[in-house]
Amino acid sequence: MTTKLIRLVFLLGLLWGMGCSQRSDTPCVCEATPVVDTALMAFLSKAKAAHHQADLLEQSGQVDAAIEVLDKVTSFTQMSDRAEVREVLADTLARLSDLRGQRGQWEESEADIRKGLELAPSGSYFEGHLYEMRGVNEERRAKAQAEQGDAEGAQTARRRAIEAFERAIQIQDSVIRRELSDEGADR
Amino acid sequence: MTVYDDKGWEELTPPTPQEVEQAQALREALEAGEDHPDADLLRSLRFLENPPPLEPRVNEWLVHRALHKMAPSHRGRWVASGVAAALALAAGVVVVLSTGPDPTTAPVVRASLVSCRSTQSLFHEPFDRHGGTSSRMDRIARDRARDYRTNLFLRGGVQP
Amino acid sequence: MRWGSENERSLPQTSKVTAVTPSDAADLLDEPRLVQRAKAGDRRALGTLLSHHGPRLYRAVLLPRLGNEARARDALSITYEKAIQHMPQYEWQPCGIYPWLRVIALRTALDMLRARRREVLFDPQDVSRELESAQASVSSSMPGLDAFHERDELDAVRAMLHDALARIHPRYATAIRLRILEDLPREQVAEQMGVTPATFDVLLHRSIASLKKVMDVRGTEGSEP
Repeated sequence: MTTKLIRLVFLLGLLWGMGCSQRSDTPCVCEATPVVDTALMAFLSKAKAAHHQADLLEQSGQVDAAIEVLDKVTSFTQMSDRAEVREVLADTLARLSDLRGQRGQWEESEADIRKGLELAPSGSYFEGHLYEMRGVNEERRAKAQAEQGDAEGAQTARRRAIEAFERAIQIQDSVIRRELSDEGADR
Repeated sequence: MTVYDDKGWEELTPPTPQEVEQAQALREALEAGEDHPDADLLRSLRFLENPPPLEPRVNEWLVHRALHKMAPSHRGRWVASGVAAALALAAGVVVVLSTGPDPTTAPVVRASLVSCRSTQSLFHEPFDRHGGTSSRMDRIARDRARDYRTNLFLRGGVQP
Repeated sequence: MRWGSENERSLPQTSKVTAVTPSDAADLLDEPRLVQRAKAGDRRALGTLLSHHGPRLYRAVLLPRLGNEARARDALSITYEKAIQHMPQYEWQPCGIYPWLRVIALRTALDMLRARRREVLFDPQDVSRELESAQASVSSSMPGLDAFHERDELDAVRAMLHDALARIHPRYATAIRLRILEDLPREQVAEQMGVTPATFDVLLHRSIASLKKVMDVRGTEGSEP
């Protein structure tokens, strides 16, 4: 009886092992969400270092060098399934847009905003910040065009700035409302 | 009597180069969440002021591990068959380990690991129009470093 | 008691969280019965008791004294193992099982503090005194009030910190409070204190040196290098 039992367990053990080893490549449902791992930490560390480097460069007036440093962060296209990566990229793009706006690079700064908006979660401070930065750049553009005597261009840029600021306020308000209602629910 | 260590802060004595170096090392360790005696001590103050709660999954994992570690032994007459059964199961395990996925990512552990998620909850007010991005990066990295250490712990009891 | 904590909202999401089930929670209303079952070898009852009291042991006892999350988790793990091992010897007390678990946790923390050369605000002698007091309370079946309320336990360790901060220069205390306890960005704190960020770094460095001096902080003796 005992011998039979041992054989049975041995067989089951082997079958279990073989079954597991031949699992398909289809991920289990519990593996669907990426976890906080070394790769994510490496990316965050890189982004952090780049922003601090950009701070120093900006402080010493080297805006182009700061843009170059931040460009290296936003050229990273992997791990886009991780929320943290998307948000860090969106925030970095908002900063890049600001720096490019300071240099009068209107098209490039708008391209950063558009890329950022694709990455930022809807109805978040990240999204609101991107719209605000669009407003800032359009405001700068309006001023520059007015100085160049392009009244019509300046008027269009001003209108776009107002729209962007309104959208930013709308988003920030909705986030704040949600925050407050969450706090209320917690009480 | 109140004890003031500095001899008159109002006229802050200029720091020595060595002090500047030490202050810089402390700042870097604090920002990067790295080991440093003074940074460790400063961080430990947070655990006196407002200790964070133990994450439920970590607690359950610790309870589960302790219960299994301290499981009572089988009765004598079952020892022989128990050993044989364990050997048989081990054979199965060998097959899994030799050809299967990394055991550290086995679903039972992986299911409890801290997932990637939005960082929105770390921020409670709209971002400043200019500046502040570096601080946000610091905040995100610091918060996730904690999750990362938890995951290391859950994966194998590794000392974070 | 409410399950979870005030920080629950910001807790990371996981694919699966094994929590104490409602039936376990209902069992806790009858802790004496749960303890009886645990003493008889019921692992589920034992697990329910540990799952319930563990988070408080971690937050109010181990983490403040050990000052490090990894060490506090290790200490909790050891506490659980000791509790399981000694459960048959535990005699039910009207105040419940928590004070007994707390004694085990304090003893574990003390062992760890003695075994490591780390700078911590809690002196092993302080913990030793706490342990003696906790043991006396448990053996006399008359635990102090502080053993019943987590808030009191937390307030006691907070008071120790506030007392230490009150003994250093107010500017130093402010630096530590804003940068460390309130976790404000370095630049913001520097601005608030009217100094440059670089000066603030020196200020914080001097603050911790000053705090260590008034607390007489030193690496605890031990064999670890």
